[in-house]
Amino acid sequence: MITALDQWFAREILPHEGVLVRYLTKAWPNSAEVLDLRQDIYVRVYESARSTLPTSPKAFLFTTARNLMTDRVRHSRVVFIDSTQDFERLNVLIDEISPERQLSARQELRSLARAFDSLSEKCRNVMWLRRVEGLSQRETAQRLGLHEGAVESQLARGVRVLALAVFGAAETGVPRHQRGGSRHESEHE
Amino acid sequence: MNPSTNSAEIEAAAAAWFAKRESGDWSAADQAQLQVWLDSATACRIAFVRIVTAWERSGRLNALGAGVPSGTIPPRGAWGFAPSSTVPPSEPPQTRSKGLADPEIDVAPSMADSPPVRALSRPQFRRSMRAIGALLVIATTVGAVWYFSRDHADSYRTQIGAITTVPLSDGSKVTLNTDSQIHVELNPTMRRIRLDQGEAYFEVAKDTARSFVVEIADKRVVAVGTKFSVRRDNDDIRVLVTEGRVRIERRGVSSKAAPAQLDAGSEARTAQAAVLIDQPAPAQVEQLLSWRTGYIMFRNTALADAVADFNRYTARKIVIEDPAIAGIRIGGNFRSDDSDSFLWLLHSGFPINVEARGDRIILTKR
Repeated sequence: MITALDQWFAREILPHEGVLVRYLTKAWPNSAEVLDLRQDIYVRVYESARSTLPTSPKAFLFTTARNLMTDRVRHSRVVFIDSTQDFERLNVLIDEISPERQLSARQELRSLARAFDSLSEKCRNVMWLRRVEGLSQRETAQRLGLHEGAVESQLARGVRVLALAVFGAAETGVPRHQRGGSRHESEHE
Repeated sequence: MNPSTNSAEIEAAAAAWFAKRESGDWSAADQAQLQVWLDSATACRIAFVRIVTAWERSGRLNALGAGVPSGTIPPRGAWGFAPSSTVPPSEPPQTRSKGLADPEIDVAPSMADSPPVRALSRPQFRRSMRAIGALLVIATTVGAVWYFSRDHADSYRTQIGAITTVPLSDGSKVTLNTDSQIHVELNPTMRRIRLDQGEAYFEVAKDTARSFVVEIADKRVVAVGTKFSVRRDNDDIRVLVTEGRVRIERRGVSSKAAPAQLDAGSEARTAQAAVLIDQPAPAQVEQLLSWRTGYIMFRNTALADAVADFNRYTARKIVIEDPAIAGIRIGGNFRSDDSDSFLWLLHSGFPINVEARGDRIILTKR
């Protein structure tokens, strides 16, 4: 079900997410649109890679990002205040960093731990028991006195927050409500 | 689930699907429905891959559980991150999640072995350029590889300005330079590449059972476990060996004539029947192969030659209209897809006038 292309994407593109999102946040005036932009960029890269894998994935990712932003500006009816939208100026150093070297093990762990601690009480407990202790959903539900459905939905929230940390995008100032599962959400489940 | 283009909603849906799959209550019908959702849009597929990958990679969290008694959930900030805290090398723990089997699998060979694909049109990437004096915007086509196959052989072609590496099923790699075309035929007894046009760099996997032969017109370059480049100019070739050894043969020539043997560090040029071999200096070898990194290097190169070389990488050709400037010597490293920097140098550093005229760039004496 997971294809070779999916694996390529996970290995060569996703690790640059942090750099990409920081770049988009600087380049694009409306921060609420950054995640949608990221999605559109990923789709273009993925579909292009379906026919041919780019020789320089990171460079290709950022070229696609610039092209997409340029297209959006061209088609939008909104006039940006900073009308000299020169995305070239925010050029990213294009050097080939292999994904494994991107964050040291220690840094990645710290980033994960911070993200983990930012979860709501309930979500954090669920994620600990499910991910670190490896308990099943049923066992977790029993241990915490929750319905299984609640454990399931907390897992869904938790993994979304962890995803930001894993791909280096945890501290990018992306609007909270778009991130899922963080501490300030109401615990009505 | 209702279709949505909103990325937050798609991500939430992907996470929900993931959590359901992990719940312990998952049927074949569920799997089928997930597949439908994944196939409904590329964005859905990507979101799911991202979530699965995140879960896998978050296995590093296990390090925080070292020494913590089962059933105890450490409070926030319990992680010291002091030098003494042990952070065991994280291996994905034994979880019951069905994630990506092996993220280290090299994708390329399996894609090369995939069933033949018909020629596809590629999206063209345009780059806007800084205006240089009277120059208009030049659109450089940075394309990619066209991959099409006939019978059991495969052909590969790069567009102008493109460079790409093609992995072969025997483990060899061929890097195609701008505007090049090769025809590959690998079978149990031989490995044969025909260089129809352009330039390619070959990294040949050792295989004692099969020789590796690059054919150009009536010439053959036979490799013996090596790395070398071949550039085709009409029916003549330029071969540069960086590792190992190759043999250059000519079809139709009597077996009395010994084939030219080329060792690492040597370059051969053919001119019809003649073969000229020399040992270029390392700096020159670097210059001749700089295209592989996307750069063209000039060292005290005559403008006419530099322009001829650059023109291989751009659809908008540069023309020298004034013979007086053709001999000007230039040097420098240029990205092969960055003709504007090259033209800027000519305009600002030399008595050269650069003018855009129609679909060409004209150089005259200033």
